[in-house]
Amino acid sequence: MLAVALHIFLIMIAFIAGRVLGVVAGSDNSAVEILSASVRVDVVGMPKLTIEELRQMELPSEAPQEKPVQAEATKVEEAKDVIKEGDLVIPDESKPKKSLSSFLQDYSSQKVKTAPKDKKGEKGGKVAGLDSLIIEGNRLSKGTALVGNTSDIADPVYVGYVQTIPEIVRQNWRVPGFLKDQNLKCKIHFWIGPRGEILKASVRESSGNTEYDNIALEAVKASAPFAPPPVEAAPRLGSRGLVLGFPLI
Amino acid sequence: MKWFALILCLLTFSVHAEDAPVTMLSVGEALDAKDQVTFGQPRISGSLNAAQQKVLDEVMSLIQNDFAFYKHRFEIGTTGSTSGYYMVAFTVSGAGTGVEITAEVSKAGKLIGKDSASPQGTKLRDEGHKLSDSIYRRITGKASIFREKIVFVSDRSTTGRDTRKELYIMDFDGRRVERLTFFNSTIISPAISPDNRNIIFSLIQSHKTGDRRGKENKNIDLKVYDRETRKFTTVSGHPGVNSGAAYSADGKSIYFTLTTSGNADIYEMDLATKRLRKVTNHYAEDVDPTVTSDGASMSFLSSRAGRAHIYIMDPRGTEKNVRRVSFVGQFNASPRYSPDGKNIVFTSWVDNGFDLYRIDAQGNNLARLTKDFGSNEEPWWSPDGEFIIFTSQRVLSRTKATQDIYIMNRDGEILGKLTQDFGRTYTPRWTN
Repeated sequence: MLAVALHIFLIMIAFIAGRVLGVVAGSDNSAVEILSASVRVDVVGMPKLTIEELRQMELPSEAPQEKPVQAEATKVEEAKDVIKEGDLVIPDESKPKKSLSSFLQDYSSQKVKTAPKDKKGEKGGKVAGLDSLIIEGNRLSKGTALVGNTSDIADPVYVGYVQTIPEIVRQNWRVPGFLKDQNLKCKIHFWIGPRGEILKASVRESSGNTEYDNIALEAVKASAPFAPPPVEAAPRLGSRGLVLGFPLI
Repeated sequence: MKWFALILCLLTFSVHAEDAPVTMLSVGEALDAKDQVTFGQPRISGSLNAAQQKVLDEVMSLIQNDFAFYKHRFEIGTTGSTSGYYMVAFTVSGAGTGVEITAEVSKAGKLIGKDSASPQGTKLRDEGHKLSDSIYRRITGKASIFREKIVFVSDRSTTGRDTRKELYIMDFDGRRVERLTFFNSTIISPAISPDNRNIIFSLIQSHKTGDRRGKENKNIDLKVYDRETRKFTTVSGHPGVNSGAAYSADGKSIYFTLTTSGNADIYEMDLATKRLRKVTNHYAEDVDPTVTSDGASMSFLSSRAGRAHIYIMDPRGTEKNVRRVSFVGQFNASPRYSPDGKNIVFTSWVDNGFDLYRIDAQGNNLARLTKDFGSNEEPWWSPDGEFIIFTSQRVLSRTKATQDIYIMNRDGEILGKLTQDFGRTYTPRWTN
């Protein structure tokens, strides 16, 4: 009996130690995991399109009823299929990664359907922007890792959802030249509700410049509502939230 | 025992709910928000006569035109409303044949600075650009291109089949062109010293060989023009090509191509002692150096990989830290380091002509800048890194073509043509 009690006690110690270590690892009382983008672009030929042309593809139109613009949009849809196995410079080997990328695509297309009309072009454009890089000359490689330092991310649904967030926010993040030149950095912590709304948002790490912090904070707020998070991911997004680094973490 | 079990249960539960880490992600590079700038209508104290009014009108349109070059940075309003984030208010009074203008710059209603200029007569454009530059500095905290000049070569003095390419200088906006040389020969590849006083260039020159029949020998020599004394001196006259000079960051030495060893290599020459030092040492051709403003890195073109490709290296050594930057392109030429050393603009042969591309010094982010716009060569960065000037050729017929200087911003948005009916122009270079 005593042996059993001692055992349980030891297990408890192990748990407590684990938690304490976790806290130490993260800053301000919470463990932190860092996700980095997995898509890398390798250039294998001179690009045919100019920067201006690429930009126009990223933001297809503000007036989607015009004919030529529609044609461009459908072209972009087709472009999805351009990623063939042969086009990948570093072929994808592990299956989980493949499923992650399909999750990514699922969620982006889902978002386009549920997003309010006026934002449709913008978010559709995000996918287009990625794909347009493949057209003419450049090819996508899947990169070597989907995640950052922590390799034990067991939740592909969560990761798939979370990875769509930075680019959505970036589309709303416009910094005037005089602030951009100062190489400032800040972090915004925000929590996403089950309908994709922002529950709370705050500056986690200030750049030292209030104007810069506010622009980043407003960029996050202006991006809501996001697509409703998948059921598996919702509790974590609501309780732990997300931290975005402007521009980097 | 029950008590232990309970605590264990609680602990494990709390672990599941609370121990999911906070996820951090990077947003990446911010999009550009343009600074809102509103120019107010000039407030005139007293009255202006017709000549003074004309000067004022000219200066106001000059300032508008100057800021239009930076349209990727500014949203310009002219309504005279105070809604702009930055507001520039002008007060004017008559002074002699010109005016005295004071520009007050305020940010969100708060005055941040005040500058004056007195444009008149031949000083009109200088003073106007100076005022524009002061306003720009107040808003951005950096120098503008408004007071810069562009040095270039033109063949407009050619008579018949005797091609002459001479050196000219003009304002950054293409105005006030001035001829600098009268060699009746061909000038190649000028460069301007960091203090803007000297212009170095290569000249095809005839030398007497000492032969009794007066036979002459042609050589490509390196010469310097002093803008203050208006005198020329020969810097390097080694047999063969002495060309493609670029000043070092401190202006005390130059990097240039010499073919004396039978193979083109880049040398550094101390301008005071004329001593030479080999910078590249390779059996392939190495040409066309440009150096970053801190002097720590040099870009150049080399055929060491078979085709002409862009390389960078530390010019303070010989063959030191050589790194290849470009891996694609049929024929790349004229690599030019941006002043901050982050990017290289170059020209590359595609289809039937040259187009301009930009790549970062690590060899990433290769971007195309020009397309369907003639054949584009000889790019050169503005000293603030925001603009690129270049030559663009239009073939009109089998024997006729125009080649003019254009300016675009760093992302390839073409802003306009700087030369017009000025012969064929070559090798435009900014002052620093």
